[in-house]
Amino acid sequence: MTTTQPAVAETERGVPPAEADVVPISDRVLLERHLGGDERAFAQLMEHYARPVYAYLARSGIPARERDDLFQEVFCKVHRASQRRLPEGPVRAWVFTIAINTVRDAFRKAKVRSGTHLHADPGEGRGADEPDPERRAEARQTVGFLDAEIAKLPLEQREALLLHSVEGVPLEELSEMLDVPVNTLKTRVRRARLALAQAMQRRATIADREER
Amino acid sequence: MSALTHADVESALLDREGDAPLAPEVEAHLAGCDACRGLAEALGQVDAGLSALAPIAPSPELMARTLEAARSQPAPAESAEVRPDLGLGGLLAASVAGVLSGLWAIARLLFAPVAALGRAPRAWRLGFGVAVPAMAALALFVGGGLMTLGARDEPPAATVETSAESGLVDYDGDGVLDTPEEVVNGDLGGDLDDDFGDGEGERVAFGQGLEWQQHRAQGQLEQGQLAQAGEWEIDEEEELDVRGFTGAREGFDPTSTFDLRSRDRGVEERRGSELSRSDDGSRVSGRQIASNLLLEDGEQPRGGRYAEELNGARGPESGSTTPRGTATANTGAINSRPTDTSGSSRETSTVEPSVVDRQLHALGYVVPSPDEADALEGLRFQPATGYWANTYLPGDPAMRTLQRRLVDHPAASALAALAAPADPRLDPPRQGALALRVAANRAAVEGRSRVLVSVGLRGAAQRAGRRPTLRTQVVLDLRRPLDEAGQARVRALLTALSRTREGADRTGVIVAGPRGGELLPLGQLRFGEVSVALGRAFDAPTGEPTDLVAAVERAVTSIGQLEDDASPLGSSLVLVVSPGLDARDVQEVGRVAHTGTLAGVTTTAVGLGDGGSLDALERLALAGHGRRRVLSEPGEADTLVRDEAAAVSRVVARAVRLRLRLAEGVQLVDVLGSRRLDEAAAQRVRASERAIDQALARRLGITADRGEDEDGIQIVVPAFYAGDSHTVLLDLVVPGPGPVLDVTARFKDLLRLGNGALTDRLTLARGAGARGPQARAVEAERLAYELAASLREAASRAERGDRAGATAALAEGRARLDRARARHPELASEPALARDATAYDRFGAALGAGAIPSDTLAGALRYAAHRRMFGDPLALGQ
Repeated sequence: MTTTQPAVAETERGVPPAEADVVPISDRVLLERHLGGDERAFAQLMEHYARPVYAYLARSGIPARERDDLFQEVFCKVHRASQRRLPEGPVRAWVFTIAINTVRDAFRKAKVRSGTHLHADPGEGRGADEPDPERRAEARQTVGFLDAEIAKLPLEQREALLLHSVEGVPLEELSEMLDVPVNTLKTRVRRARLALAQAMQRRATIADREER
Repeated sequence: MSALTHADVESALLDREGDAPLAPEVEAHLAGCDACRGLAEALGQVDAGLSALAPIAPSPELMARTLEAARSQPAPAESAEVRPDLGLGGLLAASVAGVLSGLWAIARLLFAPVAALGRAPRAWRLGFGVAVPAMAALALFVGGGLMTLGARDEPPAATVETSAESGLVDYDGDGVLDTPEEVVNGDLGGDLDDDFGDGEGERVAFGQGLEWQQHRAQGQLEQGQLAQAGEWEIDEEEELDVRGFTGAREGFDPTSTFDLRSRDRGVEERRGSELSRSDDGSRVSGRQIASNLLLEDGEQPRGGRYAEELNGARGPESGSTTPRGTATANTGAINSRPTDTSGSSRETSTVEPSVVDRQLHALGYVVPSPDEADALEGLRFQPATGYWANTYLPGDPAMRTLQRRLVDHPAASALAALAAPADPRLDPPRQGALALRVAANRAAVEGRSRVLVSVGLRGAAQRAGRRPTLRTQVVLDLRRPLDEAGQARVRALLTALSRTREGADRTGVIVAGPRGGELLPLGQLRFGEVSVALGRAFDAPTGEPTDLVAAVERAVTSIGQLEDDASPLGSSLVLVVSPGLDARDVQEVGRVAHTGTLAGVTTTAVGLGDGGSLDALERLALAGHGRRRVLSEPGEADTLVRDEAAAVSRVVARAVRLRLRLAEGVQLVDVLGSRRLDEAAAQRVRASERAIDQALARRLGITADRGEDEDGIQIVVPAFYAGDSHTVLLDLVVPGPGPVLDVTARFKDLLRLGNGALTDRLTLARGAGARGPQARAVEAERLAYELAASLREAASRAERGDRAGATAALAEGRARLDRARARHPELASEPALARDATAYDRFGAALGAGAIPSDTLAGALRYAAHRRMFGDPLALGQ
């Protein structure tokens, strides 16, 4: 199972990550300030969530030409909703729920379920830390391969995998966000990981054959 | 290699958290299994890769643009929705103010002389002006809340009906029952089939002056011409396996003869066998229908007399509506569909055991009538999510019994045949195992509207392959002693099994009862073995007390141990053979049957004789992914066994997963005939689906792709058979034109040996245009249920002797049909509805004329209803 990354790490600068069911104080404070009319507060909130939301849009299979528009749509919704009232639960869950629904709507409209995989350079990623060039290249290839395969997963598996295994949202929180039982989410994550592993094995088999 | 399976190791690897150590047995397996080790390595790479995924950041320009767009949005308007924290307080405040003002004003009025309101102080007028609406608001608030609470407690309405069904039987069960439009002089067409199992031909001389003739549905029927009772002997040695007789005589009541014939129980009753009741009195089993047929020399058997002796009340001919005795009340409880069908059941008190065969029931559920079809007020909506019950079950033994009841009444048969079988309106797939179609009863709407949506599935006509080697474990329910007829059926069944044995087939027999246990070990089931073993079982039983659950468990285990990946799914079979199962049996044995499905073992339920509950057979078959069958006559055993053996090769698709996803704003009133499953039931569905998924991955290489829930309504059908059709009807409310729902059917295609997927969507246009062919077909489908309900209601009343009431029920149904056709003129071109109108009229005329006795007519009405709703399964080649 993947090591989960506490998603609050980015928001809690210098502050130990809060437990999954505790609302990050800084985000809530920012929202309250935003509700109070502080324009800078929203900008800071956006900074906290821009990367994970954009990455989520990208890895969900949203084509590049639509990604920016959807990103804008997500945060416009966040801005509008936060002017009415504060979310009751974790801010992260609330923001991601808006992103999830926006992605689902986009797919529904496009009637495309599997999405297109990323063509863009997946970036250096942590593979860039590999000292060995060959391993660095291999790591990049694996990451690129994974990005492509993730985009092929059924939407529900993709959501669960990206939010839990990549963004580190705990299953209980994810269950609240998606209104799906925890066990179902576990199954989705399992299925997704299994599908990716099987894809890896197929790739390895093909590579072996080609070498011969 | 360790004892763990690949699936076990896969689960352990997927459940592993981080670098947590694996269990020793998993490590041991990995050490010796290249495939699993490869998977472990791949999973490690995946997890590492997921951790290494690069953050993907939006460009600074995008950030700036987004911030500007967000800030430039107009401030949101006040929400129209009532915020509970503010709204409730406000309402309460207004209510309190109103009450106080009202009380004040009333108090002043009471203590002051009456004065015209116009001369009253302004304060009073103000008080009234505030009090009245405020108090009204309070009353509405409180009243509405109480109504809501009350409504919430009220279970969803459902009509559960029981019925006596009779109709034409396809004797040997494997031919198409070619029922002509009208029966003229008893000639149903077709050829007489001389094969009754003993090759003795059609006519069996039986008693003085009386000839009994066995008829097949395809054969000739004579008008009810019966022997005089005085000349009528019941030879106890004769097998009353007859359906009709000829010989012009007078003074015989055709109805009675029909009853006698269909029940063939006289011999037993002469010995005085009785009804048996379950310990809690909720179940009456045995020969309750014909249990009290007693004939004395010179006595005329009459349907009413049977009823009297059975129930101690008056017969139907008397026209009495006096409720029958205890048996009747119990019958209602027994035969009603369990409450989990749709939340509640309303048992009809009109169930008449003299005519009602407890093994038969017609599925009845609330379908919006044409008058209510467009109603939008007062509706309760259900969540359009979760698992819903599968309602598709192949085979319909009720039809055979229905038909048997009418075989000697050509006039009644002709009436019953007026009901046009439901037309699936969906062609079989040209490629692959299944076809899918979604249609609605309207093509366009203007605004918020009620819509009936039909989701149809049709199986390919082609069968999936030849019959595989079968491993069959028969569980014989001998908890109560079987009479001779029952023993004859069992003997015929096991003999048939021995005769149809092929090659490496293996069959065993386990007995449940006071002297139970293994009767015959799994083996080749030779005829001689069968004879000896049955002689032992019936005449000199040995063995230990074995309850039914234990027997089925033993059967499932012994068969399951022989399961291997080389044999097709479904070739391991448990046949539970019982004269009658009660609710507790079904629940407990059903659990075992479900467990069997996880190991690839199918359980089929076989009713011995006509005394058991079809509902129980159906529920057990659904739990065991098998079929439900009834062995009424020993001569049917060969056909039953042949059909059961061929069933495996008739499956064209497995694990059919229907996902029905409603568009935004669309609300679900009901999935007709189904029910939302609780979590325990949903878990069983998931487990069974996954078991099939894994089994087919191993056996046929069809990639496993199940194991997760989906959004929307989920229905899982374990197996779909060649040539079958199935419809799921949804009652919806749409907000307006636009998308309504999308449907996905995923299945294991056994014809193409791969995963199949079909999708279809429904969108409604704007407008009020006339219905096209598909919309008409769906509306006609709904009206078919209407007709069936009217026919069943009329049948119930006829069974009580209330012919006038039956006529009224038909007239009401006819009026509704006429109103629907008037409201939608485009329906006039639907031929099925024209036949429905004819059916109403002719049945009504028959009720008025009095030529056909009430019981017979009721049987014909029941048959027609069944045929109209479910079509004619026999016509689909089963």
